[in-house]
Formats: sequence, C-alpha cells, structure tokens
Amino acid sequence: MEVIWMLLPIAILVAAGFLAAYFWAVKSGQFDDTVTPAHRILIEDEPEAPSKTNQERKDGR
Amino acid sequence: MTLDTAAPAFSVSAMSSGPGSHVWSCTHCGLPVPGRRDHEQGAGDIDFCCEGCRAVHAIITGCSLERYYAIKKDSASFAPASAASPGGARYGYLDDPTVREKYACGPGGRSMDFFIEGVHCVACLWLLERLGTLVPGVESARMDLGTRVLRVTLAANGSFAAAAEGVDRLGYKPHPVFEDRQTARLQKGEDRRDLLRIGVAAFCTMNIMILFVSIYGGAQGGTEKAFLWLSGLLYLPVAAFCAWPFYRSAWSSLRARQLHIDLPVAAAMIIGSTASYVRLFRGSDDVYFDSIASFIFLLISVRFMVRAVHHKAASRGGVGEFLIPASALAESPADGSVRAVPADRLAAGDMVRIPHGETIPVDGEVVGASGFADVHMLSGESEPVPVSDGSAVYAGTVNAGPELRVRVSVSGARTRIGRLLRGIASAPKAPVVLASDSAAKIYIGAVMAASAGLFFWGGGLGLQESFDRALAMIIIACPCALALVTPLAYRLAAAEYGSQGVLVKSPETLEKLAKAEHLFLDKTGTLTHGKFEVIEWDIVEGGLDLAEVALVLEEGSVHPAAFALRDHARSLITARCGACQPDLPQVVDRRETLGTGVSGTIGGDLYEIRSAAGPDRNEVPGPWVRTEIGIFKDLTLMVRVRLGDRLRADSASAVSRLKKQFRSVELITGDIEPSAAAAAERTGIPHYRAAMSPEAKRDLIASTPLSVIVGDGANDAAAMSKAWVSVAVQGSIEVSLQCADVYLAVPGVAPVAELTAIARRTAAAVRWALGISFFYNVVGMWLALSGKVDPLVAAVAMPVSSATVLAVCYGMIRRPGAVRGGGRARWK
Repeated sequence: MEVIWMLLPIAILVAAGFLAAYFWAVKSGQFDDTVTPAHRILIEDEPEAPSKTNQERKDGR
Repeated sequence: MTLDTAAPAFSVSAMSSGPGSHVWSCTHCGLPVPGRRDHEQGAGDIDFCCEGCRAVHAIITGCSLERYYAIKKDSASFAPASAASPGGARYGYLDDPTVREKYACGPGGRSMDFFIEGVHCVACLWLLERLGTLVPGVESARMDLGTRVLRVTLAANGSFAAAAEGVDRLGYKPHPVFEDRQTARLQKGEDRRDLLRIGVAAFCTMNIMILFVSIYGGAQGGTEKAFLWLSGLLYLPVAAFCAWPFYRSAWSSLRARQLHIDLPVAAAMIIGSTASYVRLFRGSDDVYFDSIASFIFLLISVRFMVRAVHHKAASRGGVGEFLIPASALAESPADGSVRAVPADRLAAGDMVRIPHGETIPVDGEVVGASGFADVHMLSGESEPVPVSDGSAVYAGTVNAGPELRVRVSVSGARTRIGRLLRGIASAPKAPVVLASDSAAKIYIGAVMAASAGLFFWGGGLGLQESFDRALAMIIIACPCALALVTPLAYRLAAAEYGSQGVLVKSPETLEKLAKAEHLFLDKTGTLTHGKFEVIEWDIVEGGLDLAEVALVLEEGSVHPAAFALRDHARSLITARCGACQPDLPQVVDRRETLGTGVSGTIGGDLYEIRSAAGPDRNEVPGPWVRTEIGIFKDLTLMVRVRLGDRLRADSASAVSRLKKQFRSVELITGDIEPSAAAAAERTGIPHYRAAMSPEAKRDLIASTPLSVIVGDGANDAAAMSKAWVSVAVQGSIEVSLQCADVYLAVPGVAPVAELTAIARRTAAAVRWALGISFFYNVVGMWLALSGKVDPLVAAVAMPVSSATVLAVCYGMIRRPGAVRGGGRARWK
C-alpha cells in the first residue's frame, strides 16, 4: 500500500496541471463571451468552395 | 412617431377587400414592399422595400456572400428586422494617429471595438465576421452577440476607417466603443477572478473529498493522519482565496451594523476553519474541511450565476432606446464634415445635423435655417411646431421639416426626457422586495442567535455535538429566496418588458397587474393607427395608378387628406422604381377649392381630385372609412381612394391574447356607434360602448374593481386616475406619466398582453421561490436542530436549494429561445 504515497502526489500534480490550464483559459479571455459561440456553432460549415474572392484568406474561414 | 415613419417611404399597403392584392417581401430585410398587386411573389422574384436594401443586396452578392440569405432563412431573429440604411457618415477620423493610439487595443494596437446597431439574427453574425471579404486589410472580425460589439483586427496596412465604412455598407451602423477602458478592464478582471475562484475551489474540494472518502471508508492510523493533514493543506487556498468575497461583505455589513446574508456564511467559514485546524493540531479526527470546502465551492458557483443574470438583465436596453436615437451626426468644427457618434457622447457646444424625419438626439438650440419639429411625443401637440434660429428643441422629438443644425446643450441622461426616464428608474422597489429584504434580515438574526444559544446552552449534549449542530444550523439556513431571488425576479421582469418598449413607473404596478381582472381598451390611437391615411387605392379597370398625378396635384395642400394622399403616392412610386427620382408631370392651372378638392391640367387632360360619393358606388365602404375621394381624368373616375383611420394589423391577435388573460375585455370609445361596432367586430372584442364622454368613461372605470384601462394619456386622464392600473399608449410622455402607471413607447396593444404575461409569470415565480424556500428552511432547521444532518450534508444542501430557487425564478420569467443581448436594440 506504500505505493499510495507516490500515487497521491502524482494525482494531485496532474489535477494541478488541469487547474493551470483552466487558469490560462480564463486569463486569455476564453470565458469572457459565453453567448456567441453557442450561436456560431449552429451555422453549418460551407461546402468546399471552388474559389475565394480574397486570396489571402486562410483556409476554412 | 419615430417608429412607423422614420424608414424611407415605407408604409404597409392596406388590405384591399378585392382580390389580387398581395404583399411582397423585400428580398433583403423581409419587410413588406408596398404597392405590388397582380400576382403572388414567386421564389425567384427579387424586390426591395427601399434603395438601401437594394444597395446592400448588391454588395452582398458582389462579394459572393449570398449564403447570408440562406442562413437568415433558417435562424430565428432576436430583434425586429429593419430596412438597411447604408451611407451617411464618414469614418475618416478613425485613422487619425491620436485616435488610434488612444482607442486601439489588442496586440500591436491593431484592433478596435465597434458597437453595431442593427444586428438582429445569427446571419448578421455570420456576415459581419466575414468583413474581411469585403474590406481588404481586415484580418479578422469577431462578434460578441451579448454586447453587440465587433472586434476588428487589421492586417499590417489596414485602416479602421475602411473597416467602419465596410460595416456601414453592409447596412449596419458601427459606433466605435470609446468607453472608459479603465472601468471595463476592472470589471472584466473582477469577473475573471471569480471564475478563477470557482476553479480553485473545485480543485481543492474534489481532492479533499477523495481523501475524506477513504477516511469515511475506514482508513486508520498513519494513513488517516496523513490524509487529514493533506486535506488541511489543500483547504488553505479555499479559506484564503476563494472565500475572500464573503469575508469582505461580512466585514462591511458589520461595520454598517446591518445584517447581511453573507454574515452566516462568513461566520460558518471562520468558525468551522478555526475549529478544524485546532482539532487537527490536537490530533482529533473531527474536522470539517470537506463540508466547508464544498460549501464555499457550491456557494460561489451559485452566486456567480446570480450575478451573471443580474448583469445580463442590467445591460439590456431600457425604454430609453426606443425614445432617443443611439447615434447622431456630429459636425466637425474644423471642416464641417459629418461623422456618426454615439448620441450620449455629445458635449455642450457640439453641432449636430438632423435630417428630415429623424428623431432629435439631444436638447439644444437651432442654428441657422428654420423648420418644423413634431413635439407630439413630449408635449402632446399634434401639429408640428415651427422652429427657427435660437429655438429650443428637445431629445425625443422629430424633425418634421428640412434638415436642421442644432447646437447641443445637454445630451444623454441630462436631457429633458433623459431626466424623466431616470426619475422612473430610481422608483422605489416593489413592496414584495422590501418585505423580503426585512424578512431575510430577521431570519438571519434569528438563526445566528438560535445557533449561538444552542452552542452555549448545550442542553445536555456534549461540546462536540452541540458545536456540530450549531454549525449545521448556520450552514443550512438559506434566506437566499428572500434576499437574492426576489429582487432578481423583478430585475429580470424589468429587463423583459423594458426591451419591449414598456415603461413602468413603479414595480408595484407589476404586482397589481398580475391581479387585474377587467380590461378596457380605447379605440383611436390604441387599436387603430390614430392617423388619417389611405385605406384603399382602387384603380378602375385597366388604368394607371396615377400616383404622380396625385403627388403633383396635392403639392402644398394642408388638407389632412392631402398628407395621406401624398404619403401613399410616394410609397407607390418607390415600390415601382426604387428611389429613382420620379418623373413628375408639369401641372398647368393648378387650383385648390377648400373643402372640395384640387384640380389641374396635365398634358392636356383635366385631372381632379374630389369627393367620389355618388350613386355610382356599388359597394358600401367599411364603417371606419371616413372619406371617399376619386381621381378623375376628364370627368371620368380613374381611381377611387378611401381614407380613414385604419385598424392596426396586430390588434386582433393582441386582443385574442388579452381575452385569455382578463375576465372581461371591453372597448370604450368616444367615437360613433358604427365605428366602434366595426372595430369591436374586427378585433374580436365581445363588448363595446360608443359615444362615451370622458366623464362617462371615468364613472364606468370607477365602478369596476381591478380594472385596467389602455388609452391615450392626455384624453383619458380622468378615467386613468380611477383605474386600478392605467396604460398610456404613446402620445405625450410627460403628460402620460403624470396620469398613467405604464407608458408604451411602441404603438399598439400587443405590449399590454406581453406585460400582463410577464407580471403574472413574475408573481408566480416569486410565490414558488418563497414557497420552496420556506419548506426547505423549516425542514432543514428541524433536521439540523435534532442532529439528524451533519455539516457536510448541510453544506451541500444549502447551495443546492439556492440554485433551485434561482433556476425556478429564472425559468419562469424568461422567455425561452433567442439571444437576449445587451446594448441597444432600436426598432426602426
């Protein structure tokens, strides 16, 4: 059962890693607008367009 | 006035009783296109209600963005559609280096925020985020539907002016967000910190729980000790960081010697934490880390939700949005160029330009040329008032004459109408809210006293047991329905009806409306449009519609019929050829005979516009038709025009809704019997009384309990003073608010049905919330006192009950679906 003294700290470290990721997400403003993404995903993706008017546009946008 | 007539030459063509007259929809905005007859609109037919829509459609198709219309068809809209109005202001000043330095944001100063007017559905979101297709130099555009703010990021050589012009050309109005960045940043920082607190609390609580599960499961000796110490360590961030807001508000409530709902929470926190650490150091295993950590975690989550709802409710536009325009055309003092600015940013001394038909955005004085102002909305005068150099004009009135230049005196909340609205906003709270506030304080005091009493008296229980029970008592007590949810319910309701254009003087009216039983509706101006207009334009077989003839012959006449004829003729011409300049024929020998009609010679033919009453009529006109006029060419009737005060298109559906809400619905009017009968029959009102004098109305209302009257603020003042609840439909806002409880900034009776529904939902939600909370507290208190529930269960139960009550309230008051955005949604 002594293995638990190694497992516990590792588990807490992993959890802390997730917490750090959460911190990063909040600080970079990903949770500032929770309204619009809900609507944006409902717009279906365009089918493959043969050409685009603005050549510099990135793919998929 | 601002609502029906601000859009260019747009009016719904009347429903003719004859066959073959259908209403087409504009391909771009979906609003009706007047004047089309003949056949149904086919799927491929393209038509526009105005030149603005035509221009925007061309731009959209030119950039291959036609998917906009496909998306629009599939998505619900959350604001009323409006005709597009591109062009007008210039945005060159946005590229000025000082402006850019001050207001650009984001990495490299390449982004700027714009508040967008006119966003009304998800397709608009799609279109605006593809701004880069229209405007090269725009790297990305990201929209926030909640605040209606578009963040535009430029590429290396981009221009903000070009971006703003692009948005304008797409038919929306961009306003650069020049708000105080400092407060916005602080607010955002505060919100983010709360989210971080929730994250930390979740992390610590869950890990502590894992450790405690094994302790509850029977861990002994060294293992148990180690786990307890580890939990104590994990608990520190919760006590220090996550619970901080509670300490802060408990401290300020103590300093103010007021009881506050955070007081028991902070007390439980501090007492529980201290006891736990003391026992930990003493070696006992009776610690509360799991209970209190869960308590804090759940509680801050619920409070966050409550605050988010409050923010959303507060940021929704109030009634002011319907009365004062959001933007104004400001003249630059340097070169006289014109640019669009937010109306409340104007300072005293600025010059603004107000085109014909637009609402005046500020209080100020006219400079230079004279004109006319329609002050009906403020003072009730129905005729436009002449204004000249030096005359005062007020925000909310409409420019009825040629373009005016005005020097600003005050803007925004300091205008006459702004102060009026602000006075309403600071109205006292609803009685229910005040009562629950005091009840909450009493309850908190009682619980804390009882808890302390239990601990110190003990009553035969050991120290441990009485401490446990006292702690459970403090934790489980939840006055949240009283202190948090009831005010929130009224806030939510206010946001709901405010965004529909309803102004309620005091929230107590909402409670009264929920109990009201009898409804009395006025006719003129309430169920009808209230103005004299063309109901039918009946072209005799095979002829032309003679719109230009009518326009030219009625030119300059001040007869009420002339206004109606000119308006309708203009809309017919626009429907035929867009905004092209009509080819107006030359009139020779134009003559007006007062009371009879006008006549003139055009191209050799004698045209007359005069009464068409005569034996050659073969159908009886509707009883709300006041006058029949004909356009005669060489003494032959070519067009028969019927004029009158038309019933609003939404009156019938509003009435059927109202009939379900009230015990009785009656139409009372001073108008003659046939008109009243016809209006009652067309809208489905079962009872009507005609030819009622103001005194008769007043007596009728006074003798009916729980009555609601909907009418004109000025004319029905006597009746309104006797009613249980009175609603004024448009008209002079100052006069109306003196006599009535509710003022509708939008025309029609439909908002009354909506307001009643909201009032009933709010009353029901508050009842449910109080009921659930009462039941929960009674049961919880009893369980805690008798020791049947330990602090951990209490710690979970209390936030859950809080969340339940909040959810019930929110779900019952808010209408489902659609985005409730912040910002100004202005009806056009």
